Amino acid sequence: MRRVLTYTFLLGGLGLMVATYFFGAAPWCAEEVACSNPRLEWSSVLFVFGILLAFGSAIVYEVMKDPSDGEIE
Amino acid sequence: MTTDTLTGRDLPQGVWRFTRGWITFMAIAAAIVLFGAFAYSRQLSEGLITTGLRDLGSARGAPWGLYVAFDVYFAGASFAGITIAAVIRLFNIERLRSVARMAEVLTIVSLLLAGLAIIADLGQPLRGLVNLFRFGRPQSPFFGTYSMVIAGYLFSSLIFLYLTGRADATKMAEKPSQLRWYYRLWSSGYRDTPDQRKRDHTASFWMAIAILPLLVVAHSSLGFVFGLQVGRPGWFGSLQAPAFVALAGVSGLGHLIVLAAIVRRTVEGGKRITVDAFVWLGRLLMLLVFAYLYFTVVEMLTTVYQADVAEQSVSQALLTGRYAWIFWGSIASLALPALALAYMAVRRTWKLSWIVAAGAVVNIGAIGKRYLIVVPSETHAQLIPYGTGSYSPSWIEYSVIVGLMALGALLVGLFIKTFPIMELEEADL
Repeated sequence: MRRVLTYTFLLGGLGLMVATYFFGAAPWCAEEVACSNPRLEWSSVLFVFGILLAFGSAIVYEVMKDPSDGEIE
Repeated sequence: MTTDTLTGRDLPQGVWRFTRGWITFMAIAAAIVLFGAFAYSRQLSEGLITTGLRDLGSARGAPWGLYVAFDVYFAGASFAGITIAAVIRLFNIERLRSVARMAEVLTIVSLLLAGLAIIADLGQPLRGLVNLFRFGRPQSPFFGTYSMVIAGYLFSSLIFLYLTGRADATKMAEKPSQLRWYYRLWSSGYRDTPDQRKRDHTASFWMAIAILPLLVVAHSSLGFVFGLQVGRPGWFGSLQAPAFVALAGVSGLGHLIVLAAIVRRTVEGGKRITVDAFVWLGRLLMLLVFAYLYFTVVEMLTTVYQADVAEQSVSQALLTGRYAWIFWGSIASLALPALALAYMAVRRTWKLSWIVAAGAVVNIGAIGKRYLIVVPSETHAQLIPYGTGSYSPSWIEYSVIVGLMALGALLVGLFIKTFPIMELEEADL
């Protein structure tokens, strides 16, 4: 379970970063006004949230108890 | 529970024991922080007119001044801390293990100060922060700075400190004290079993692997804030990013050396920070200073050789003009300590006091260079025909910056009294 959650956090965070960077934020162009505005407002916050999730996976991996560890008190 | 346990007499490294010297230091730092807060409240209520910051061009001023210079400086100071901490964990460098935690703390405190310095620079901080997150553009280096430096870098450093401190928190929780709840919270179930140790090692290793490239990207993106501005002579250039990384290492290592020296002198058991550790840090500092000086020479040669008028205006202001005393003072503050370190390296005789002095003096040079990176290009590099501008920080700006520095000292001082600043050893228990 711990392993599953760790990968969920890590891949979820990375996925969120990629999605918000390439599809939520302003497009990679410079000619039009539309190039200045994000396609999805607050996509920056989601990107930052993705970073937090990805690094948070380290806490899940280390702190979460798992029955397979055999160290439940 | 006896008085001794309540006052933390059983806790190692002087944790939760408050000496007269520490209380005096903290009281002075707190008073300076309060004065800085008062100065900032004046700025917040009366506006940026209370500062020396003015618009470019017709107002002949500089909209980025002391606050931005110190934002860059504080962010730079964080660089070496987490680099050293990550490298120690990654390569298991035993001789530096005693400075690993203080390096992590230094990074976190510096990043907080960097964030506060940039908030102080905003006339309407709340509006600025909201709009940054609402409309942030990933192509912009500002986005990279906030997402990488503040979110990624600060958060990963906090996690790194938390994870690497769990084993010590468990040992601290075994001793009766008023802080037991805090150590239990920090240890969060850590029992130091072989499995947990292995997991801890794996997590720290991968965190270190992730942090090292992240911080190069973070500091480079801070350099790109300046280096990508094609309309601002003196800033635009490909050397900004690597020079930022090098100078970040210089200021951070300098800070770490000074902090390690203070801990060695004032904290119980501090002598475990060996002279060998200082020598290692001193050698690294020397290399980084020489690398940075090389970047500076290359940059200056490029701009004085056959540059356009605006570029020459900036380089003249730096070399012989208004900013010459800061420029040459900064160069001397960097070069002389590097030469002193090189002299000791060649002689193979190291003096601790010299290494510590070098760590302190290079920071004066780093502050000067950060100021020169930010200000002269605004006052002396106009592509449209405006006259030369000027910038003098007001007492408000000085007070806020000194207040931030005192806040940093206050936070480090508080940490030292609430958690072991060096990893616990058998002798501590």
